[in-house]
Amino acid sequence: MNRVRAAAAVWAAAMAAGCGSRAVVSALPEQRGILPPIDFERPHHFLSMTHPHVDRFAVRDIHPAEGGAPWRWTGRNPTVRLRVSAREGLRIRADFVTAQESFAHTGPLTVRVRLNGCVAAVVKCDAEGEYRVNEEAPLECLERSGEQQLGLELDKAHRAPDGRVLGVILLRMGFTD
Amino acid sequence: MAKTLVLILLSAGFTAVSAWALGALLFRALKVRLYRQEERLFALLTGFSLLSLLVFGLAVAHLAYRGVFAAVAASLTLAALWMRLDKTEAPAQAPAPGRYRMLFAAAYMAYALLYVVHAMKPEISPDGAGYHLGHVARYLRAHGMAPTPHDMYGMLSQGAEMLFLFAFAYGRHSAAALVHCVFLFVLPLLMLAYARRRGFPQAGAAGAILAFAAPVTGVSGTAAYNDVAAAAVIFGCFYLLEIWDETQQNRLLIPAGLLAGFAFAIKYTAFLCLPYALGGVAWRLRKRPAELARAGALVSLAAGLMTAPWLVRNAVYYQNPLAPFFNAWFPNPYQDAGYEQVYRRVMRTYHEIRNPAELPRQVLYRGDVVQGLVGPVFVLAPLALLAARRREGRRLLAAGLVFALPYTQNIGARFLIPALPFVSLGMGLALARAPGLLAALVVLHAVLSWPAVVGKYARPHAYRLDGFPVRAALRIEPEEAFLGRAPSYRRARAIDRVVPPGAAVFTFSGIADSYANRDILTGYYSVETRTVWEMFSAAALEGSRPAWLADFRFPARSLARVRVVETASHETNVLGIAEIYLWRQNALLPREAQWRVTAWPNPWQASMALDNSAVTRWNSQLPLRPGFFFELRFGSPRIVDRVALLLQPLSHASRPRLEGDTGDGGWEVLAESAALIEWGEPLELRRMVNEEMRRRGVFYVLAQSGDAIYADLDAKRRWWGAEVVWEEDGAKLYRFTEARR
Repeated sequence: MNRVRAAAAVWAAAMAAGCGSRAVVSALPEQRGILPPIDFERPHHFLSMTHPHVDRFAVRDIHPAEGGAPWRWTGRNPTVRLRVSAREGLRIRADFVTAQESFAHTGPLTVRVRLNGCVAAVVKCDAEGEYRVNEEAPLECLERSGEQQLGLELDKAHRAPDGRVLGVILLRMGFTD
Repeated sequence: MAKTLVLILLSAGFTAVSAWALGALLFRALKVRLYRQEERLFALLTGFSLLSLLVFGLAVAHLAYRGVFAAVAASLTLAALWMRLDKTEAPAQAPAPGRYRMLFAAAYMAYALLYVVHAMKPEISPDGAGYHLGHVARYLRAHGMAPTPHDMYGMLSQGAEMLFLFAFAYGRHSAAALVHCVFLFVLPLLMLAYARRRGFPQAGAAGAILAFAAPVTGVSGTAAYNDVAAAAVIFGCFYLLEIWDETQQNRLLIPAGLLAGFAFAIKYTAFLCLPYALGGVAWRLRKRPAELARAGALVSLAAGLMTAPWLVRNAVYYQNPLAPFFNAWFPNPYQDAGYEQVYRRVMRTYHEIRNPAELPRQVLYRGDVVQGLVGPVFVLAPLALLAARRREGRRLLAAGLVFALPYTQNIGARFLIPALPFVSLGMGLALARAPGLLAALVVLHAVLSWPAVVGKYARPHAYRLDGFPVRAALRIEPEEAFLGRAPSYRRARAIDRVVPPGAAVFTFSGIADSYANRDILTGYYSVETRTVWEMFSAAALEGSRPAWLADFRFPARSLARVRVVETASHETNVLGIAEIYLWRQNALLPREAQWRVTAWPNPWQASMALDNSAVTRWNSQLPLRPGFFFELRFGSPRIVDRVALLLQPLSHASRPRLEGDTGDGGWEVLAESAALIEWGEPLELRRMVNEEMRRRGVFYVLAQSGDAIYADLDAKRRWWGAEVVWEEDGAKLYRFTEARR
């Protein structure tokens, strides 16, 4: 019986060899070189309306946030300041909503997406709802300096009773690749 | 052509002869009383277990050379001849009644011919030519066992693969398939012999043909799979225990234990053979504790001899004796409990079986989703319950129930094969009083299971034997022409031609690994390969890209450590951090060499959140639970007032809290919650993947048209830094070079 017990103990030890958690603490790995550091204070290649400093990078026509909402009402020509090196393969991304509050007054809209003044895309908004721009950024429209202005140009907008010009609800604008 | 055929037949033949010689030596030493037919069958089965163990030992000792295997085969064959192991004085069993003998012989011969032709044709079964023989080929190249941390299938027990290795060394793929086919031939003979011993040869002959001709048995048993081997070994163990029960020859418990352990060594899901054997012994000897201890020890030690090598190998190689499963019990860097949960869930539904009523249809006659079918006559399987009128019937049904249990975890039709012999014999017994009906049922099953007939009712993509490929089996049609019709083969061969020796290739989905003499790293097979897969997804798939920050702000504190602690639960979401950033007064803290990082779960990948790459990440692997944490240690205190996490993936269910250690060793809450900021997808994610792949030494990637990444990789190859080095319709092999900025 003792032999049997000894064999059972060896068996259990083998079974338990990998058992349990171990404290695994690692050193810092070698740092990769492509990802730029995060800097909330400087223009980025992308600006979401959740960014803590939207107003700092808004050039025009982006209204103040309403109660901390992750979106902003725009005027007729919302434009933001971004930073990205000019290169091939960049795409323009803009997400916005045509909301009943203004759309009921304006009816169908034509939205031109302007990159540093160039028209990079045209969106026909025939109904209320979400729209996404995902178009290649024309290389010739990109500023070599890296400072870019990206905006929407609406063919019409609604003037609300409080005097604000309401265009669309903007969620985000920027570049992807 | 002739040389190939001779090598195939000799390799498989010598594997069987070597196994039989080992088994015959064992039975001669044991001096147990059996019938002649039983002696031969059990010698072969237990011999397979011993040969598998021997090959495992040779592989561990890195003696897996063709010459060594040839010497072993020659020695065992000569020993068998020298010792006249073929001679026996055991009595023969009483023959089965003439009509049933004829029926059995006719069906057996017809199907045996079909099966041998299929086993001899060039092997291209998905798993056989993939991982089963992929690992065999790897071991042969390395001349021994080697860890496969990137492949869950290499972590499974490989008792059958050890036999395949012995045959593969000379006869390559078809020899391995033929070895499995030997188990297929043995199974009905064992069933018949058992039934003859128990006095119901007619029912036995019928049951044997029901199991033997079942389409799923044929398609698995003629490929380099292991299901039929497991079934034969399980039935052999059952049979030996029945003889032991009848004759009380305790020495029979040694081969029974060997087979119980070998069942586990062949396939994890056959592990139930051991508790079945021990349970049977315990029940029989429940009133004789001293005998029970002795008998239990015999079974356990013999089984342990077969199971321990695999458990120890896995404990040593993978920190988990039961790898790639039970990772929650044995956490390790190679497989994770989170993916295991997903895998198990998928195996229980195969993605498509949502309606329980569909499962019987699939298993009986459709066979596409569950990868095989048992044949329509098994709709009468519930009749087997009538066999419970007899003691033998009750035992068969009990065993069938036990060995069907793993089916609850994997609904593939192959997972029914171990229970099939018991159910088939039960059906035979149930209908034994209506021999005409039973014979008609067997004939009907034999007709309905013939490939040409199956093709008329099964789904077009059912996994089954197709045709009678005698030209391919005899190599009249060249192997290259036959195999070349399979995309997975062409892609494997292309890898061999294009990729230099020693280089690894990443693939998102499986190919016929065994035909490529390169290391194939397949997408979902391991933590490492899933990490690579997720890197590609993070770069290319919308919704997978790291675009959101969890931003914690708090009054400046001097901290020795900070940690992010999850406070929420969710059934599927995980917590994932691509990068962590810390600030003091809007100045980003530079990372310092003395910083250390840990986490739970998945501490092994914690440092990936601090490598300044947005495509690598730490994640919890397991679905969210309160208490999961990610911890950063500064070495010496640092003043911090802001911490942000670049999340990957974004989980709306996650509620992380930030805690800090001010130096007294305790944790205090710095911020109960984080603001969620959409920071935007970092640019040049594809170039980051390129950098990471080259850093890992993986320069080649095979993308196939079903892969989610296929279109992006093709359309944006210059941004990936990937050049096409080989392509065909639906597949491209890329080499990663320096990516373009």
